[in-house]
Amino acid sequence: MKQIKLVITLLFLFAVGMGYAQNSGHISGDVCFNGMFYIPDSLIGAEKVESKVRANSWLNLNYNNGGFTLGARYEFYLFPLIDFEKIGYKGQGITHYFADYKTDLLQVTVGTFYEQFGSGLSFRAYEDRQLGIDNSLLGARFRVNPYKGVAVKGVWGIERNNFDFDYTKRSDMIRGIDGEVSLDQIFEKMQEKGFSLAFGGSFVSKFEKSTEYQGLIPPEKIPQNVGLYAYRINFGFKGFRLEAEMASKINDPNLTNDFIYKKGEALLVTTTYSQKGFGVSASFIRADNMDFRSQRNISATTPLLGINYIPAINRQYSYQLLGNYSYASQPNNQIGFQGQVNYQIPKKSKLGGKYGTDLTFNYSRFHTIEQIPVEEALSLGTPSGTDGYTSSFFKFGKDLLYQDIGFDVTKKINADWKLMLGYNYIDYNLLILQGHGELAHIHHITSEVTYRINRKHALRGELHALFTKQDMGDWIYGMLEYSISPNWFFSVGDQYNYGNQAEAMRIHYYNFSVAYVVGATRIAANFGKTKEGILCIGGVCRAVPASYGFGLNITTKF
Amino acid sequence: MKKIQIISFIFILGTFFFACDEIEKPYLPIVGDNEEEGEVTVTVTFPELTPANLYRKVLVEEYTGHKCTNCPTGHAKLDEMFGLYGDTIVAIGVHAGPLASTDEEYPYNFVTPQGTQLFNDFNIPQIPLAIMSRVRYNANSWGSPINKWIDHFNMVDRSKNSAAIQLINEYNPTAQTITTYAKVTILEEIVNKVQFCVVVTENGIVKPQLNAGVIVPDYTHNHVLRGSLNGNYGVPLTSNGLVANGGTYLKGYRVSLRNRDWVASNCSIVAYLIDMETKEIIQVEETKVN
Repeated sequence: MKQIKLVITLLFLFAVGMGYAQNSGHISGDVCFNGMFYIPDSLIGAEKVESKVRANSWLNLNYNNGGFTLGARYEFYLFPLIDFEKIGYKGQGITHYFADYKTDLLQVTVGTFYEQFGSGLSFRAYEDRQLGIDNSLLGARFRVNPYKGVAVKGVWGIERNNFDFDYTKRSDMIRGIDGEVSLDQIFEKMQEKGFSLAFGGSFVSKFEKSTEYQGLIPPEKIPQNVGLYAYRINFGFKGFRLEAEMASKINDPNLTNDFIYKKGEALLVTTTYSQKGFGVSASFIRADNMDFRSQRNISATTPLLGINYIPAINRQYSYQLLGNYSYASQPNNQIGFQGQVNYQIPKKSKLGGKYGTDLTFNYSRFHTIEQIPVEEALSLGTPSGTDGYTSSFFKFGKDLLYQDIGFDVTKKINADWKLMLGYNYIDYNLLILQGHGELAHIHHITSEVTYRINRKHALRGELHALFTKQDMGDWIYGMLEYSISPNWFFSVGDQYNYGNQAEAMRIHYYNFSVAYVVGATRIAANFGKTKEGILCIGGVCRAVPASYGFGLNITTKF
Repeated sequence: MKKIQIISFIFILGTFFFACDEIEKPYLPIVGDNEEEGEVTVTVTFPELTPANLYRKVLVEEYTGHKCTNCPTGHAKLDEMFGLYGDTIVAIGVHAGPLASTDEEYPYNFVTPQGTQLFNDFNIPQIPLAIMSRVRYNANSWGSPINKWIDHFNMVDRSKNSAAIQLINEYNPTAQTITTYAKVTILEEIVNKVQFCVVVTENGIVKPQLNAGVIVPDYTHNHVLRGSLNGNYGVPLTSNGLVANGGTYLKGYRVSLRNRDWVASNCSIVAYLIDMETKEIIQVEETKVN
């Protein structure tokens, strides 16, 4: 790995030098510093940390000249924010580096890279800075477009595992190939008539040296190569779209599934229909034993070394109080659906007013799948070393994981005032989704008002309330944001857990922040408390420890 | 022509990607000696219960691993607790999670299917961590960190004594089998369903352990969970899982040491009764094999 890094660094310096000598090429990148000064607060559980001042910082640098691109990222996470330390994302170094050459026909990448096949059921190498996930592959990738409408991709490499870059000790690697044929691009008449149709398929294989499992399963019965195949169809006609992908994983005994040999299966179907002022979407997902990792002994409690991605299809909210009740996708055990209707009451109608009124209704429900233990598992007293269970494909299991009924109205009253009101009822299985507690029944009301004072000055306020008899009880949240366009933003907010059964825990989690934006640079500072909870993005979650202190965030692009 | 060559090349390359091993049944080895294993009829007579049997013991499940640099501190803490509470404590060292994995420096595999299932079921975020009689430490965690183990131990209500467990072990050196007989006596009404679990633990296993950043090659591992004799959560004592106040229940199990590197004289049988609703360990007992 050191040689590849060295070669790419030398190539980078050479190319930049040559590019500048010939007055060609383009350098771009971004820098980020995200720091915090921690103050212990035993009441909210903010622990005293070894180093009070901590920061995540990185620099991305890309050089592009024609079809040739070189890139690298340096990350300094030696004293990272405590959220990241707790998930083991700690270290420093050049973590991402690649050389890429692209023509109309072919693209080849060497070094580290990100890629996704289809909707990700078979393969998704991606990064999410907020979650602390970076499962890029170190190796090589090619993309070929031999004919218009035909695309083939292939990847070959070793997956990143936080800052553990000793690849000589690794005995695992990933290979994958994906192809897609877009008939509407081959037959242009289809496009003219409003049709789109594409078929795709992928195969991903993981290699990991076989080792005995706990004195129970001998190495020859542990598959060294685990294969996963998927096929998909995307169909569209005018405002209607259907996207479906089905994936199957061949025997993959691993820690997340208690070392069972059952085949994994996943189905994801999404349909949407939209026309002016009206849109409807419906999605269905079933995932059974589809947690697919580079190493078989990785625990399900961490998203590390994930090869594929089973998304959460429920409606995603950015509401502060609902953050702690985000649905975490269950790759090994979930079945459910989501439906959403958007309607705009027409402008200049009685109900719609001058600007129209936007209505959104959504409903989603997710259960565990039905699982009937196989005889062998019952007699052994453990599913390990057996087929584990059988399951009817479309049958919902007895445990409700998550249910959300939501409704919101957005209304622009006049050029200066805009209002939003919303309500959600949520059932949330704390025990399965977060490992503690019970089924929580939650009512959530949200309101937001924006007032444009003049062309430059605006005021935005949010008031949310969450009511539940379970977990931490009732909450209220208020936030006021004042912006002076285009440079300044000021906000003050408070989350108050006034309904906590323990009187001492009725805590205000206040936050003051200010941000200054100039060009592509943003400098933000904040002071306040963050409650312990979870952070989920697209159904992938991590724990957030309680914290209190002063934060500084600087980002710039060039 | 050039494009056809490229497509041919891709398909040839594609063959490298299609690697998949499909494992055929049986997945687990069939060991002839294992025919001797399993449930056996109870042929021994248990002595009368005495006040010595009539107090509640606490099961300490210590989640640990040989690559866990702080775990030896936990082992020392456990020894300190033995000094404080004597045989009121029954300890099981559950080696599980990423820090219990094997590699060239730590080649010995301590991990068991049961330990792994418990590690997953109780959402152990990091080790060392201990769970006391499966009483939840707080809303966010079943387990407690080392400096809270005594507090957590005291969270177990030892004024209750709902059941007694008696164990008699027999070791047959010729057949290399351990047979354990258990008698469970219900002393108070238990409304929830219960299950009875019997496991083997072993002391004195000398293998490497990371300690304060240094690999200690000849570290002595004690209370190591070796495996269950009747399932990861045991078995019900009755057909519906409910037990009667005053009822007595007998169970017997045999395990073979052939093809296992367990040293019988270092092994103990640990048996415990689980409330399947609350997950709490109602009673636990430990007896050395010989």
